[in-house]
Amino acid sequence: MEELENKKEAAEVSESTEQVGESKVYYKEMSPAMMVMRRFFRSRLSMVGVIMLVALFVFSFAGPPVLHLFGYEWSETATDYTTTVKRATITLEGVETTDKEGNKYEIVQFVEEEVGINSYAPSTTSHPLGTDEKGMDIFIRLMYGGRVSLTLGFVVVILETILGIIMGGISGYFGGRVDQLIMRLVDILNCIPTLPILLIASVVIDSWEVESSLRIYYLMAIMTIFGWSGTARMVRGQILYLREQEFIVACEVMGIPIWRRIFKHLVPNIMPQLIVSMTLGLGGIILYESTLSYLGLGIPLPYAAWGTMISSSTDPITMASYPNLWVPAGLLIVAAVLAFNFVGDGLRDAMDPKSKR
Amino acid sequence: MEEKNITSAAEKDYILEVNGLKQHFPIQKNLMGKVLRSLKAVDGVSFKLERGKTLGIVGESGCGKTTLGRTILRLYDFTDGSAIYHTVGKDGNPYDVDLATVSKKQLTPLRTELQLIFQDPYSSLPPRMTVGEILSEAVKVHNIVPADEVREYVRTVMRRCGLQDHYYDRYPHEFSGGQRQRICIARALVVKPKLVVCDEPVSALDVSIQAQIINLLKKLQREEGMSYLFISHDLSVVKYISDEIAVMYLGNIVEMGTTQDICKNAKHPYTQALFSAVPVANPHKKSEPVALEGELPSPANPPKGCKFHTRCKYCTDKCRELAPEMTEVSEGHYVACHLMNEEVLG
Repeated sequence: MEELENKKEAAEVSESTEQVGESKVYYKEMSPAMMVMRRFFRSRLSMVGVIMLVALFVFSFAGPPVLHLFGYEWSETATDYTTTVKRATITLEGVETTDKEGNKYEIVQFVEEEVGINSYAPSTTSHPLGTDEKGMDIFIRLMYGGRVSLTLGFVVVILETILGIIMGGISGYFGGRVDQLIMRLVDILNCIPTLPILLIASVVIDSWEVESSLRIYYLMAIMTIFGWSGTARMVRGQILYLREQEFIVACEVMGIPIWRRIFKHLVPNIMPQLIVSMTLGLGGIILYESTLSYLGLGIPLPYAAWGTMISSSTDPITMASYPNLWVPAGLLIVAAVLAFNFVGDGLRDAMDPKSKR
Repeated sequence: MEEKNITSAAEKDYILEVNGLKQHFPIQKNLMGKVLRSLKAVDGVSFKLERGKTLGIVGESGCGKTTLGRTILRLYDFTDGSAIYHTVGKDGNPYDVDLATVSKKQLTPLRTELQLIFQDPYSSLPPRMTVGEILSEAVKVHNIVPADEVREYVRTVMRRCGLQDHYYDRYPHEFSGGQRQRICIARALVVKPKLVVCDEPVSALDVSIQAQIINLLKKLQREEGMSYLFISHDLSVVKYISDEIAVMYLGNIVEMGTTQDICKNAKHPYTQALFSAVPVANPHKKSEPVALEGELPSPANPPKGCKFHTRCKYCTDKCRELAPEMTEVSEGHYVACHLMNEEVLG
């Protein structure tokens, strides 16, 4: 017994000397968030994603005003009313004639038509990517379309996440009947195939004869309503896991109020997973928006959206003869979705606490 | 020794009186929600804790030590029994609270007085907050000191717990287990508690660090006059820190008394077996550990009669049928065994 106490007193002595020799060396502390950022920026693929995203944002949001500054005359809905002469050459087949000397002749018919709008124009200096069938400048419409797609994507993702945190948080934190109710609602939402229900909803909006500039808000609302369930389920799972963690029990012992426990302790700890699912979800939302627009149920003409622009080339002739109408918009959709996925993957790797890279 | 004389002369000043505390967790319910089977983690525990003293609770894994500690802090609702906590109100008048029935609202101001130190210093600190934020949170919530003094106050407490000032802006993942446990102690201490439940605070640490932490806890107790409910399975640690020891077996206290009584004069066969297994730092001394046969029975289906009878070598027919009562064998020394007066138990 005495030996033990001696040993422990010796430990106490060494402890106090440790305090005397307190070092005054201060170095910069690294917060977990800083470490995540460092790992994120070290990954090449996520940097590619970030650069692509920045480029897309600059293109969409800074593009039009800058172009106007340099005297670019076209805007989102402006039609080019330059009168153009459309000339068609038609060779009449089967009416070949042969003269006395054996020369063959073809009969060629020229049709010239004066059109009031400059539609289907090829790429020129005034229209870098030509014009579409309504004589609207494709290049500037790509920029405005980007605004719609990116804004809609972000707004929907943020709304979805907020709704998901609230529903999943209530469900996970309070449990019991509320949990049952919310989770069954999530189950029901997950049983409904998303694309058909979005189509039906869009048709319903159509039947309400909503003003076309307001349609985008209805679209956002519908996509949010059908999109929050995944986030809610994830948040619930995380909260169920976290509330058994000892540091949350410690909060209760400390008498920290419930709202503070939720927003200062639980939510910050599910943020990493949320950010990843938000970024990865953005690509999906942009795709849905494009699909709906392509099917004529999203952003209506004359407003520009990437999906709407692609849908202008539903007939085979436009598709084959005027690739400038739909290829650029398609490429931008691919670029945006890829960029969001790169960033999302990069964030997931960076936030993985087991990752030591 | 002086202190002891004073307390024994005057009426003893208890901070906590636990009576017949039960904590049963339901395992099986019928469709109507009626509990069919339950796990009797704590099954009728009574003890008294003196102000400024330490009560050590020992027992093997699964005997309900941790559940007992957490139930007293109302992390679980009581199944039965009471825990009377004697405290002093803001107006300076002493009053009693029954922790079993107090409403959550009334409990909130008491949260500062009752604290818990966790076993695992790794999972009990929030990973995304700095040490300063962790320590100052409760101070701000409960207005322990004026807002502009919080930082200075937290630093004072940190220094007393052996933490350097510049740790204030660091994150828990940068620390070793011992330093993390110091942070946990500082977190408990920062709200000026009166009763601290130490739930195996050193069992996750290595021996040299254990000694430092135990000494820190003792030093803080001397300075603050806090009472400890010290839960541990490590007898040498409990022996060193406790004034009184209660031995738990399968949800019940089987023996309780001063540290001297329990260590030198154990009456219950279970206590004897436990203490015979403690290694002694003397190579010439031959120890003969009393080996306990069998496993700890399931608390969901505890044996009839004396719960220890399945493993007790002195077991009689009476033990199999009748649960023993706590009986005082000498002053302050209680044993729950039918055979305590028999010669077999020496």
